[in-house]
Amino acid sequence: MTRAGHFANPVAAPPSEAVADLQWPNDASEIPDWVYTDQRVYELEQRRIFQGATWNYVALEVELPKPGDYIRSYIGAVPIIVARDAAGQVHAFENRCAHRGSEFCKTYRGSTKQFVCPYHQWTYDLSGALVSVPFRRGVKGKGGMPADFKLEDHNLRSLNVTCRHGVVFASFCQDMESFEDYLGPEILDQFDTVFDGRKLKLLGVHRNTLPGNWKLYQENLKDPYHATLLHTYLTTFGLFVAGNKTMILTDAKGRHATLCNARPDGRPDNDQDKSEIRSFHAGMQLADPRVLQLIKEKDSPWTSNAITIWPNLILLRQTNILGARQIVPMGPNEFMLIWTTFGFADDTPEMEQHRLRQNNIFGPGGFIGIDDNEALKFVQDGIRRSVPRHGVAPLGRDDEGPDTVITDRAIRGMYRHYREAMGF
Amino acid sequence: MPKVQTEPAKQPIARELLRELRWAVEEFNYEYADVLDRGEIERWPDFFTDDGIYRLIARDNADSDLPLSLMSCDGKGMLKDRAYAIAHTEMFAPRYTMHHIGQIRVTDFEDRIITAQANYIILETLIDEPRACFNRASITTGSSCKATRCCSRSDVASTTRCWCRHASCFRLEIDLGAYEDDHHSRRATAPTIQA
Repeated sequence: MTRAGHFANPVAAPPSEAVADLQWPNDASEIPDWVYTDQRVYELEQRRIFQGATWNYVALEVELPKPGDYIRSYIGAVPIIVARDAAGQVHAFENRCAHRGSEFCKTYRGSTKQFVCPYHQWTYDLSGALVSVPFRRGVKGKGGMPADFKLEDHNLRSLNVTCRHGVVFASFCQDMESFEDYLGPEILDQFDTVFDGRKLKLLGVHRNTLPGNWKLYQENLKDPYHATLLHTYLTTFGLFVAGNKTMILTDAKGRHATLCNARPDGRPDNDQDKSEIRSFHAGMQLADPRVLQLIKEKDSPWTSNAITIWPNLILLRQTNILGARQIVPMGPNEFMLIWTTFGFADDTPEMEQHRLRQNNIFGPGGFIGIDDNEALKFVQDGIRRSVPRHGVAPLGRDDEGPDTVITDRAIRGMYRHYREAMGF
Repeated sequence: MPKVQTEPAKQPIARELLRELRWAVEEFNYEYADVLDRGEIERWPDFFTDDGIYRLIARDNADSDLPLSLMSCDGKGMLKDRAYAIAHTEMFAPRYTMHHIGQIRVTDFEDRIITAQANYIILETLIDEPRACFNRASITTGSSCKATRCCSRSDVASTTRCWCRHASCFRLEIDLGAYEDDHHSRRATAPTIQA
């Protein structure tokens, strides 16, 4: 890698010697346990996926509304800073001093004119360019930097940045395809259903760590099968059930997906299909049903869009909750989720209260989130502690229509792309 | 720097009365913790008035004046719905919890309403992972059903249950108003508040 400017472009993935002993099963519906547990695979993912040819979600522009505003973020496991310069342009660069490597910015968010590494006061501007170093000429003619030392050789390495409708994505890759091409037309349309260009209002951020592999979270949101079975609040109140009008789409490469559902008016019937759903509680009544209320606000045929954008973003528009969940891998067995919840700047106070109330269902401590957090831990426990065996994602067919709900098609699509990116 | 998470007492309270008030808050909190640690979650809403508010707010959101809560129950109905879900519909591994509540401070006593705060630690033990993990928090009991602040050291929010799994502290305000009338006659000298 170069000392200055930006990161070297990733090379196409050749088979890696380091993981030559890992053989992917022949059956396309099988997923080997080692993708969730092997440290070498985890490290290879950092280089080939997160530092590869991907657009990674890093912030919402509303989190840095004014010049000088910044926020800590991550691409994969790598800490970065996203900052807005005096001219209003958004930059992203590494949170690692070019001098001795210190992760100098420890504040979650703030506003500044420049970043000063506390160790030796190397000072960077809002684009990550090195602007000064102390004692450059030494003291009393002794010491100091070599005569040929150039500040511009020691800038923070910057990332390729793109913004769409107030959402900031960054890439280690300098010659990335456009974000629009990266998503493809169908997923871009889904993205625009959540972010329609209206000004956002930040409602709050939650961060939690989950004891599982990061890919399980991508899979979970590409898995409509579990949504119709695990979550009482989805099944009993009809927010996502197999009988609803449904659409499941992936992009051409299988990286991104969306699960769309149209909620019926009122509760779903207790028909024969429901007898197989243990989470369906026909007699359950809420003491305070305001939390379930759907306030019509967008011209969309769907009341629920669960969108997975490879590799690190989950976008959820469900009833009236809007949120971005950023996946931050922390080793093969753990990841952090950053849940950024927002509304629109022109929301009425009542609408804002309604969105805040609905976080009780869809937030990290919500009725859906608790189930998912636990299920993912169960999977990681099982894979990590038992004798290895390939998992299977066999439901549905790869050539089925978009209205098939009981399917693993999107999970299989993700792993087809994964194998290509990883060289497996 | 993070904002100050506790408030000084609004007015001096006579020592004898203060001792009684603190004792009353202790009794309330100990009963509250006992019910939770026994797993009798559906008795939990009974510690609140019909218009009681329960909120958990991450420290970062509180410091940044962001309104989002990890949990936000506005009225007893929402508390009951939360308790019902934990008791009957949520999927999670069985576990034991043990609350330790301390550092109770009564910060105000006015118009028969006690405002107080406390710290707490929850030890949580999964049945199949017999090691306790810490949860640290602080409780405020009080009359005003205003926003409660969650003040967390790591600000890492919950993973599995509705309380913070990683070290964090928060303030919970509980309206004691429901208990006043029963004990009004004794309140002036020695309030005996029972859950």
